Amino acid sequence: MATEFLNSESELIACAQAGDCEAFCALTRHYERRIYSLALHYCRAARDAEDLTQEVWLRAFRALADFRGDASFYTWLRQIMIHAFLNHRRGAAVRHADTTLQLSQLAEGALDEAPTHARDAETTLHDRLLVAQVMDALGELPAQQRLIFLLKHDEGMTYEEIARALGCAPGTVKKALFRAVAKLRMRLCVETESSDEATRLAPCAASKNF
Amino acid sequence: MHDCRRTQAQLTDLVCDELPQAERVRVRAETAACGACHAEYRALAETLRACVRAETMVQPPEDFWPGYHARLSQHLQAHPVAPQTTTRTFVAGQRPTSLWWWRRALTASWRVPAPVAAVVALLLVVLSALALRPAPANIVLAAPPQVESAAPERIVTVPVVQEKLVTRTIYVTRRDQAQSRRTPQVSRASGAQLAGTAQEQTVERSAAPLMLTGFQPAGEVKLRVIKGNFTHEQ
Repeated sequence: MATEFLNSESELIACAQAGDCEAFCALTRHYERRIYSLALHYCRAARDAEDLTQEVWLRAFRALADFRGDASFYTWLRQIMIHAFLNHRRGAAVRHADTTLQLSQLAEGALDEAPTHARDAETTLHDRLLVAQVMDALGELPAQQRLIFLLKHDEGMTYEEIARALGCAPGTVKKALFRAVAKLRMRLCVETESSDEATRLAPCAASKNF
Repeated sequence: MHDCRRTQAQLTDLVCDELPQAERVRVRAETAACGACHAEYRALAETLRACVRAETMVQPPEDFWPGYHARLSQHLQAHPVAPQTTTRTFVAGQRPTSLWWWRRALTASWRVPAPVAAVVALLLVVLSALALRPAPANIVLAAPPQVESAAPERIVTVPVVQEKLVTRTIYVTRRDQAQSRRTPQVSRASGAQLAGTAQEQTVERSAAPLMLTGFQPAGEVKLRVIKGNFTHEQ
């Protein structure tokens, strides 16, 4: 099964390199969910995530002739995605002074715009608040720290892999991740003293959004 | 000896699974033995667990993807990419052509940290400025041309206030030449005596009427000037 997939992937890549758009569209099916999920966590808005992923795929299509098969297609694609994310951050910083979504927008609008499983009947208010709080906390991180955090915990990349992808030292990645986790912890008000999980994850009084 | 600060500094690496096996076992053991470190570890782990849990909840449902893929395909087809005439994809067992290597060598680029690039650029500017700087003007005085003169060469010491080349054209009458031949010892006299003699002759000539008949300039006599100033005057 895996071999068939690889064969079909290499065939699709060869056809797409020859300019076959249909083949490339078929290739996108394999990775579009993974790319979109990461973009959604990075942008925290469904519309921005869709724009960003379309840009990633278009860049990949244009650069596909440079793909030599040294690494896997997804590793190559992820590198394009990281550059697109960073450029999106720079562009967004110029276009919008503050792209951080408000918690109320995220809880009521963005989550509805990107429908989630949390909309099921089993969805609780606690889950919605947790999602909103985590997304808001992620939004307060600097873009590079947010990207490093997502690459580490969503993509499962190591410090060295992230450092290579971002063109920095592994120590820089480690520091950024340490700071990101510390900020998230502070923002989510996870206390060390309390052993009660519900208490630790509940919004604390210090949160101005609650 | 347990050090809480050292252990807690490694807790992020522990929850991110970035510690080597032996170090992981040691930090886990220390965390289990120390209440403060254990509470810190649990807080970090809980933070990451909450983030991962929230992220997994933010996932589009299945009915989102067909529309998304249709929009993506439409976007890609709206921006067609020209097919590559020369593909650089390697096929197993096939060697890349030399043209490919040349193209790669000519278009190669390296990622350089910005401070290093700035220092290299600055060095290039400085070196270029040094290389393009005009050379200092070296005044080389050409040796005076040796003039073959039929007239006897005399050494005359002339006091010079500043360094100057003095060239004088001396017109000598035949009578003076004959007189100078009769008194060869005068030419060997010192410069001061010569100067005095010349002055006396000038006075004599100014007193006697000049006879310009048959006067012909004797060739140009090059005087060798001994540089000096009043302190060196003899």
